[in-house]
Amino acid sequence: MSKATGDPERAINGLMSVAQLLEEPRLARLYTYILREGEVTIDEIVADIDTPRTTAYADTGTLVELGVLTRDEAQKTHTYTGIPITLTANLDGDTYTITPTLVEAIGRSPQDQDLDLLIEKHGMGKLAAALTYAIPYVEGGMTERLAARELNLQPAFGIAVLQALREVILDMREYDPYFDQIRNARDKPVDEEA
Amino acid sequence: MQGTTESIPENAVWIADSGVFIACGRQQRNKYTALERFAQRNEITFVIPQRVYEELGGAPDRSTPGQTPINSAIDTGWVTVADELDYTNPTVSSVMDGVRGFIARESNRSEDNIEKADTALGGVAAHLLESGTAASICVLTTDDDAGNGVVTAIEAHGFDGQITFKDGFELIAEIT
Repeated sequence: MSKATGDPERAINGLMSVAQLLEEPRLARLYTYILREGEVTIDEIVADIDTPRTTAYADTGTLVELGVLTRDEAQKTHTYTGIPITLTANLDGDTYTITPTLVEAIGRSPQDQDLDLLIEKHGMGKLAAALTYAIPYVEGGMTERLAARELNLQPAFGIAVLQALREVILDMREYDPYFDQIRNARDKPVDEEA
Repeated sequence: MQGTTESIPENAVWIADSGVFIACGRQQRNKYTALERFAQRNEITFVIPQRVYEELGGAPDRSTPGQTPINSAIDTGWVTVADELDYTNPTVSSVMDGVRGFIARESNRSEDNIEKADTALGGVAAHLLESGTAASICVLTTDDDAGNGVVTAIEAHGFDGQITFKDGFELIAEIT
């Protein structure tokens, strides 16, 4: 999904695929795991992410259908490879570029009490906004409390969210070819956008 | 400006930030015990600004900071809450202004966006040094800009060589 082809059908299908990944943390987690690993077999998936074999078959099948994984059937043992995604949403001038790093954050949320609570209380949009603060927090150029305040989060909870996203960033930035396209809140506070 | 644990003077007073306790509690909680052991082995009592104590206590119950056993750490004696900051003390307020300016520049915001409370670590450090309670300070935080801001502002005030910043994530990695 990385090349711009000007194909409207592909754009909408891509949008629906990304939306499904964002809605289903289990699929999101499997997708970014495969993206990081490079090339995996079902056996490796079952061993590494502790998932039942039937689920691994069903979920990789779904991800192939969504167009975010390729399945190599040349060998007897099929292998799967992740396709990096990038999708820029623009709603009346409010823009956000979704990349595998956000997908990873969503995939982790069921196992991370702070990300889980953030999504439950404030929605996925807040998670995406928090990521734009976590980037300068990791790279230098954003303090924990300033980020928490601009995100309207209780300070200590905001710090916990930034720390959770720091772990996501450190694990994903070398595997996410579109990492630099994610907005950086150091440039401008999120709520000051036109 | 960051120090290695070995380079921190033995008699330094450690001022700890919220993020350190939160980082200890995230995912595996045994890191909290490691921090307690580190404090006891080195005979350190972490001083926390009142602001830090209030933040940790005010976090949602189901979040990591909401479950941080800060009160039992205070009861056990390896964490203590600093006195209320005296903003009329010129050294305290001027160091806090210095931290605020540093954070504003680093974060690309105007100084009006940085609240006084964000600079409490610097205020506590200034108070402890000026009153002679501490000969040197180690600021332990998971926030690079806050840590560097405190060091810059304290040094600019003439307390040269009396302040170190230790990265909280780094310390946790060393002791776990």
